[in-house]
Amino acid sequence: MRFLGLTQRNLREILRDRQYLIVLLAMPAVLIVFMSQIFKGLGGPPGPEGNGAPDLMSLERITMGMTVFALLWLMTLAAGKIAGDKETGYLRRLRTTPTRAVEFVIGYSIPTILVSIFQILFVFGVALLLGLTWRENTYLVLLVLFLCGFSSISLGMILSSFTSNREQVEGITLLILFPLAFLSGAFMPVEILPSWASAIGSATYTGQAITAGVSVLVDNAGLETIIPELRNLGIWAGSLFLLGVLCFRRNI
Amino acid sequence: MTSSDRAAIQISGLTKIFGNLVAVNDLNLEIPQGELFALLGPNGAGKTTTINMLCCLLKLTSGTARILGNDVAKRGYQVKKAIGVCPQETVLSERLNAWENLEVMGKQHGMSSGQLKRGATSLLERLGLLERARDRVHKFSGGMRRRLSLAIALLHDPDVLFLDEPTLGMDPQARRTMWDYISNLKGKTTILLTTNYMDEADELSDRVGIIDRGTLVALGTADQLKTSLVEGRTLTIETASIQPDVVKELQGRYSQVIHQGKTIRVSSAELDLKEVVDYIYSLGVAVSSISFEQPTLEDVFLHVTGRGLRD
Repeated sequence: MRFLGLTQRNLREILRDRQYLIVLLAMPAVLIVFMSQIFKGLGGPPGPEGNGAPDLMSLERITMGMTVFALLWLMTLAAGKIAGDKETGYLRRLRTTPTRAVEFVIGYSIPTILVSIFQILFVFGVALLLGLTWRENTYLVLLVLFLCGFSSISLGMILSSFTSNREQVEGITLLILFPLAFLSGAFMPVEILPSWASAIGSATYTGQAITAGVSVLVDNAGLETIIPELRNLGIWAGSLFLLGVLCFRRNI
Repeated sequence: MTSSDRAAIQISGLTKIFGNLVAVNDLNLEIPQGELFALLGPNGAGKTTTINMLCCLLKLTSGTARILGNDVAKRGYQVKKAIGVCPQETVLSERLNAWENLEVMGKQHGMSSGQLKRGATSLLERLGLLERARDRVHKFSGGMRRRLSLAIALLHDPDVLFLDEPTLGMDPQARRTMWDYISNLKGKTTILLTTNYMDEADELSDRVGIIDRGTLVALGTADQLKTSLVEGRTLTIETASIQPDVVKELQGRYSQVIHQGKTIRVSSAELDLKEVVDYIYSLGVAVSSISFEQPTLEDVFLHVTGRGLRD
């Protein structure tokens, strides 16, 4: 349980950086409000009753896309925290304690996971206020988003192990974050992307999360329907976490 | 029990090479348990690199190092449990208060809440920080930060303590507080101290090692190193007048005698003051004044490392 001290410290540091925390929590909510107003009326079922456009930018899609986009930012938070500690020498000092690589990764992950849980709940709260329907299987979306957030945090750990300061890590995470968000359908449905792009996007953990989430929110799909995506998300989350531990052990 | 069994730190052929730079070159050293050993050297001499290898922060290029019998390359976990480190840079968690900073490191060392509370209270009190325990450290002065950094290193009661320039940038009062505290640890905790302050090494250490360009160039107690200087102790005698044959007599008896006008300087590694003065009087020299200078550790340092500036 040697990760507890580090977990507590990182949580305190995050909670006491109020401006960053507010931006992190508020950003997806603001984006959902903004986008739902822009695309209001553009969606709807195709056919004579609708406006002919496929249901590409419904509130359900916007909610999933923006939540996944927000969870991608956790990569920056996790990576930035470690890179900052590397830069100041704090991590070096921590490494003189008998803390194992896996405990370091857990100690840095848990606070960010807690932030992600708050973020998901907050975003869904806002979406419900805007008219999102809570269906009997919506809880599955929370599981999907949790795995997505966990993968983002682990990816942040991996990136931080290859960089030596906060500026470097922020640059690299942004370079990954936006293409990943676009390709996986956070801003627009993957259906309208070129086939090569949608193939790449669908294979990513964010793509899997959006596909599964939209199925549940739009079609009220059950567990058996989204099992392939859940399995893939589990593989992504587990692999990235293990890779994070390996990178941490090797490079930090 | 052999001397190696009693050694807290055993270093044999320790070498660290970064690219073309040999940072530490075939270092051999044994520090017995309870000793305060000062490792001195110019900037870039290899002091911090040595400490980093002993703390398992850097891989060894070659050689071995053991802390309480545990090989740093193979038993890092055991080594880390036994050591406390006060690094050169005062790294603290800025958004946390002093108490919380201690709490983090205590928990990383596996301390229970009770041990933490007792240890932290006692340390903060003795280092004069108890009243500021709940203040966030970004409000702390440089001296307070250094003291807190020392407290963090000591919290889990380590058997071996590494202090890398612990009083760097402190005012005299704060330095004195640190010295007093470090002095109290002597005998109980093995301490490897690096410093650029010669008076600090002189005041605190049981033994001193001087490292230059990665190589250990002098080793011994501060007094041994001072007396090892050829110039050694110097006696300056002002006379009313002095005859050349008296100077010759003195030059035949002592290793270094400089005659300049009415002044004679007698230097020797082992100078017996009374004997010299008695001898001068026996030669019938009219002495007006006598002054005596002892070499300092700084003289030793400059003698063995040279006066050239280092990067």
